[in-house]
Amino acid sequence: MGLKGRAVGWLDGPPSVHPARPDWRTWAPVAWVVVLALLINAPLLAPGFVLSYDLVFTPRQDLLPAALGLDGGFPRAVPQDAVVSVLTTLVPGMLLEKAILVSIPVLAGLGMLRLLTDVPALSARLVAATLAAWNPFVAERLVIGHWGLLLAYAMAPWALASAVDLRRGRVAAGPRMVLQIAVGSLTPSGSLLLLGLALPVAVGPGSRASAGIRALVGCGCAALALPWVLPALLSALLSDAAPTYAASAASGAGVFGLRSEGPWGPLLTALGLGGLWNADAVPDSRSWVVAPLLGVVLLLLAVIGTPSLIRSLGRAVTLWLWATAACGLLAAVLSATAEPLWASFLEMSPALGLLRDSQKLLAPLALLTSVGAGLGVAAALARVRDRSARSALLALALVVPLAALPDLAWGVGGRLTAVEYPPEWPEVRDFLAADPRPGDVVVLPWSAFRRFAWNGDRTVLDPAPRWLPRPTVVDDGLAVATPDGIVVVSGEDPRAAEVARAIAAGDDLATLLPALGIGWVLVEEGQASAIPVSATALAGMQPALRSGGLRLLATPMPAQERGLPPGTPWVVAADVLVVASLVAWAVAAALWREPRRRRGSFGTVTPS
Amino acid sequence: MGLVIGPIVAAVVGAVLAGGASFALISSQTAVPPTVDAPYVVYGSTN
Repeated sequence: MGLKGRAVGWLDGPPSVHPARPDWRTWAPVAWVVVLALLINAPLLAPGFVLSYDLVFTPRQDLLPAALGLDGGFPRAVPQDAVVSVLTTLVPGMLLEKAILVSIPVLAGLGMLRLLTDVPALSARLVAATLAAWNPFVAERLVIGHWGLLLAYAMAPWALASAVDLRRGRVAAGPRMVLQIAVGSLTPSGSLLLLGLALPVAVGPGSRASAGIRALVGCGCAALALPWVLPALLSALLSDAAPTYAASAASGAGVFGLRSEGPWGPLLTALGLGGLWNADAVPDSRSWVVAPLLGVVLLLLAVIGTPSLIRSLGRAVTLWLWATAACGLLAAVLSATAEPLWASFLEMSPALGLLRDSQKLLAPLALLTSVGAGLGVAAALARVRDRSARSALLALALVVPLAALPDLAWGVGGRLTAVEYPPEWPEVRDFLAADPRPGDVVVLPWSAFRRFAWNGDRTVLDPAPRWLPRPTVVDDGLAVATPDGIVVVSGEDPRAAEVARAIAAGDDLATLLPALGIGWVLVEEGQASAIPVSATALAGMQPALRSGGLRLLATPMPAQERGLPPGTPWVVAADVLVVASLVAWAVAAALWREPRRRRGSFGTVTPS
Repeated sequence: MGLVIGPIVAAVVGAVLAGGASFALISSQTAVPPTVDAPYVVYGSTN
């Protein structure tokens, strides 16, 4: 059943397309999305930093080798850290973090409005925007701090809309799409999500863009993956890191798979867009019975909305959306129901470690159910003749997703809040920046995560690597509590492995560290350690600074100079190339104007 | 022309995307996750 030709009311009328006279039907969905974003983020706008699991920002982050993927570990936060480093030279980190957190639901919601621009039903746009901004996937990933992935998720409808435009032969959409994918490609996962969703649509079979344009856009998009693909490849090929990557991927398969959020099992959990591996980061409402029920209802609505989706985006694009969503769903469920099979799959290649946190594979399903259910609701409402009944049903459709996940509001039910760093952190940073003695910094206690009293004892990744102006060596193993005890997913940094071995053996760090290029030890007092540090291990170190809960020690001998990691010139060259290409694409997007178009009937926009 | 360029683009894109997967050239190995007893801050809980 479609929307075309149905009785129209205020819910079904098209928004004004005249740029000078946008009417309330244009602004109302935008305002609604902003309201949703504020509802989620309002408490986070207070002064301070939001620190939760992997979400760590500091006032200023230096551009260090690790930010370019040159620290020996798999480049999971590349180029995210490099981009933050550059941006925090222009904007305080606190403001940058707040801007990003607010922009995630705003971009996701507005992206749905953009994707459904050609759909006249206001109800479809409103519901789709609501579902995209307010769902368990967003809630759980916010708590665990995967903002890079969420930014990719939020950019996905934008990139998909541009891909559809390019597919229809609108050449100006090409540069736009490359830039949109670039915004969301701050992590390997985000990069793969956007490239996998949008690129086949834009340049795949059936695209009306010329072969040259398709080649140009395809290469431009693929190049966006270079900042993380190249260091990963070089690290694997030049420094034998591949087995370490593989070991990390394999050991993570068991703990990072999809987790059932109730007795209904992994399939219904996944259909409800939940299932993050970490029970501590999951909102309480996910255990309510309404959670899987809503997931099923939204899927049914998406099925109902599929004919409208075909009319809006085309048959091939709709099929591609369903296919990616189904594959992601299947993989996520398999990670929970067929763990040995999933582990065997991940062991096939070190690169597959990117998939070990399998709930992230539900991102395409989240997008499909948002846009599909929006259209499904509109199709259902079009059958209701009574205007007030239509309004009431729409209100219900907008409120139910919020009511089913009320603890996404107000910083995910208070799980996220803004706090100030104690003054010792900038003091240590300034000290290390000013001191001429060379060397990187080992951070103790030997544990990747911290719980600071000033942060409400929330679990957070050690902020030291982002605070300090020098490269750090930290515990990069990931300890996870499981029913069988604590499991440590092995890290990948060879220097971290060497330091961990020395600590466990009780070796004198003062004599060991300089040979590793390390000249300093930062001790965060009061924090628990994975491996107890004996008094003798630090006996030879020289006190350099003590402030608040931080103690900085220096090695008696200067640290040996470390050469640049292998492949550094290639990685830097690739990064410069990508930045230059983005400038070129931005210029092209600004100059490349589409001829004026007139809006046709639903699903068609014809060039004049 | 278009029939030729399309697959070429797809091949280039696929090659770059599969860059990570090319790690498979190097044999992977299975790790047995070690367990520890120390009560320290864990990343999270699957319980």
